[in-house]
Amino acid sequence: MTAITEGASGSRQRFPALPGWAITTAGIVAFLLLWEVVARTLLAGSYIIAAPSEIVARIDEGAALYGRALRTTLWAALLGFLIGNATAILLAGVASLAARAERLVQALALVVFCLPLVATGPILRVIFGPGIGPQVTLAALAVYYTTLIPLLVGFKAVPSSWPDLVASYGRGRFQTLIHVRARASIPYLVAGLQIAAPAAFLGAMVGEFTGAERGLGVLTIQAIRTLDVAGTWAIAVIATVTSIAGYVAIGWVGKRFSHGAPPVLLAAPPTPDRSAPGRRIVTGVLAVVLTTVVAIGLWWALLELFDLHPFFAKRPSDVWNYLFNLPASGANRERVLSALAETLSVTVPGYIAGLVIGFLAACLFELYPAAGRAATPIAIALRSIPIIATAPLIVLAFGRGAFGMLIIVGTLTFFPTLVAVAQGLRQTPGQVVDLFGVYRAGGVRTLVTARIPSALPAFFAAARMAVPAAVLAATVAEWLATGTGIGNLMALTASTSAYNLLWSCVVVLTLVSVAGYGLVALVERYVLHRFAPEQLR
Amino acid sequence: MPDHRLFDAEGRPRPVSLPEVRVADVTKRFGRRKSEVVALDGFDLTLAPGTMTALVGPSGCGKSTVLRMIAGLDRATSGGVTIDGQPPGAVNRRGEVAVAFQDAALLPWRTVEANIALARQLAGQDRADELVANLIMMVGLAGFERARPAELSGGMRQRAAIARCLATGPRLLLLDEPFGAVDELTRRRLNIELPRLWEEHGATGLLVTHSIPEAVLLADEVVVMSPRPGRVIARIPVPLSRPRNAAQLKSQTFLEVADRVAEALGVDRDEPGVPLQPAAAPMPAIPRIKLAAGGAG
Ligand SMILES: Nc1ncnc2c1ncn2[C@@H]1O[C@H](COP(=O)(O)OP(=O)(O)OP(=O)(O)O)[C@@H](O)[C@H]1O
Ligand SMILES: [Mg+2]
Repeated sequence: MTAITEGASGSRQRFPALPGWAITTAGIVAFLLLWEVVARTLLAGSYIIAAPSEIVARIDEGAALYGRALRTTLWAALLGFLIGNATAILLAGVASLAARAERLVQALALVVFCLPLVATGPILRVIFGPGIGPQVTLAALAVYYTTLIPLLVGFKAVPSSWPDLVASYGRGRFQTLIHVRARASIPYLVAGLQIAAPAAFLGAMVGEFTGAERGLGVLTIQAIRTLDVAGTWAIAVIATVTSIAGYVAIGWVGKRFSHGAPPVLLAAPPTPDRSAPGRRIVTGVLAVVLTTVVAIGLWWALLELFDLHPFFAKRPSDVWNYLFNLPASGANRERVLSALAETLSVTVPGYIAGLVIGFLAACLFELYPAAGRAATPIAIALRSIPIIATAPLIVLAFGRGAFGMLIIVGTLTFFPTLVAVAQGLRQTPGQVVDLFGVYRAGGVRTLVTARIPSALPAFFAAARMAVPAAVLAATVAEWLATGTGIGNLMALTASTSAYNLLWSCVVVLTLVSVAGYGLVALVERYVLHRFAPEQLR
Repeated sequence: MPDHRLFDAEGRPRPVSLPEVRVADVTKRFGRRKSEVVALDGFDLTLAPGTMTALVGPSGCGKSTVLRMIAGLDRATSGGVTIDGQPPGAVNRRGEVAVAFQDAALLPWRTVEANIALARQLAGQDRADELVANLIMMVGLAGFERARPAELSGGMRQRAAIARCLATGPRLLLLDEPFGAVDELTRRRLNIELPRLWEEHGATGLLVTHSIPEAVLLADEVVVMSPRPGRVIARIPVPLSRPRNAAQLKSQTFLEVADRVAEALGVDRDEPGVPLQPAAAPMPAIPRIKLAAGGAG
């Protein structure tokens, strides 16, 4: 890793006058000022934006109330964080010990990651009853994937001579895991845990949307219902600051334990498969079938194991019958699919817009490093905002129509893309950039021919991970605010106890997310093959 | 540490029990069908107890593959590898086999001391702090016990790796281009140190190398391999006396043996190493070091 990180800073020192922290601080101050001015002039009285000063006043006023709610949510988030990450570490360990299980573990993990959290909330609510069960479960679900995947990558990011060394003393995978892989993967683990901090908070808040008694999520719902703009913003700010604090704290702790900088890639890259194309298709199909069978088996087994009542805990067969086997199945399908189409009609454009703008912004920042240095920390901070907390704001600002949704999905895709691409661009090995310097290639030229190809894997990693996130954002916005699409349909079914429909929605949405993820992975394979084959190895 | 030194205080050979390694009619294929690579075909090799054998040959001819099979890291497609009649693997667990890798393979988060101790830990032996300290002295790293690999030079790292190899008291030493990554000057110095360490320690040894002088100075026999698929094309004994020393580098015997090895390889003796390209077919790259999968570079 060292060679890469060294290359990162080496060659661009065009603005040496100001130290980094000064530029960052200036950026933050300018941002706040702009916000205050806009809120007090342009958008005053529009029920959209509260000025920073108003928000601070509101937080001060409701300190006791917010403090209590924050404690509740934090506690649920913390429990979920611990449970989710412990599960991830355990799964990664299993995958590392049993190589054949790795692909299955990854595929199942992806399926679970693609579960629409909003819809899982009400189901968990009936299962757990009152209390923090659903919040904790959702927080755990929200974090485990972003820890599991970097860990799996980190386990493999060792020179082959290290495992060979262990094997040369006749020891197997377990000793390799203990002595080599565990320690080598710490930077990756830290990167995953950092992302997990805001994600856990987000999961806990989503859990609170679905019928909790206390917590920031509950306050958010009340604030939206009463059109309390300052209140909504106050909660969003509290959630954001808390998340960023978690992000920074874990990063700080992590730095003390890992020497290298945390890597960018947080999604497993597509494994280069050198077998013949025909064979590849066969193994691919087999993998999908196997995953489906195991997923359905697990679903059924879990419900039976906990002896959950079939009234709300629908089995795979119930969903199948509901969608395909009953006289009303045609109508049922029609209902789910038309709602899905409505959701996708905004999610897909928003997702693509987020990707494109994020990519372009990162390139701009690369060409104008001063702007980049001011903006990157803000982008990293914004990436860690629990977007759910801001969804209501965006709906307030841009209305309940498609445009508001577009903005939500777009923003959610934009920030991770920006951060990943920016870091990917900077990862170009120093010598390559120096080579371009020697030939006096211009900034744009270097960017296009050298930096962008090496940033492609980071871009696609972000793009893949953003698929379930975009679906989540869209459904949450629909659930909470816009009253359209499959998110709204699930909200209705949850309140009318139409559990067959709810489970069907969950299944369909999960399939759509998994398919989207797979589609992006295919595009990735094609593009990398075509434009950056060296990245495929 | 068991004492199997090859020479007593007066320099007379000592009778010790060291393993014999037999590689008999081994074939090794990688990949399947279209992309198949035949690395070794009908390969035979015997490592006599207590001798050091050097294996030289063009790049990609299968030297590392031979070494890895003896170390139990790879299996032969057909044919057999035995250490004292047993398959490799059984002996590894007792710490009787030690492998030195081209890239030293020191764990960056462990100190020199801890890296050396790791070998004993993996072999299920006790910590033996004193022995570790002695080994560090022997390889000339005194004062660097607590240093991390990143703070060492390339040559120092290789010495640490060699100390680690010796830490379990192995009876079989497998060295895969241990000095491949260090500069020429350091390499020459280590070439003079290694025979001393090996003679003092006593073990059956296999040394894979690209350097003809290194092969001749260190080994009792130089085995020359053909380009892929690798076979033995020459076995050249080295009649230099032991213990070896730097003066022998200029001796007539040395130059003659080196010439014969060079001739078998089809190169000039004064070329610094064996040519890096095999005669036919471009060499496929084997990604040995894998960074974050999909990472830049
Ligand atoms: N894991 C593997 N998968 C596929 N092919 C391999 C693998 N390991 C080695 N090979 C092939 O086997 C042949 C011999 O490889 P090996 O590493 O033993 O060569 P070598 O003689 O050690 O070369 P060098 O001197 O460059 O180290 C090479 O052509 C290589 O392409
Ligand atoms: Mg080799």
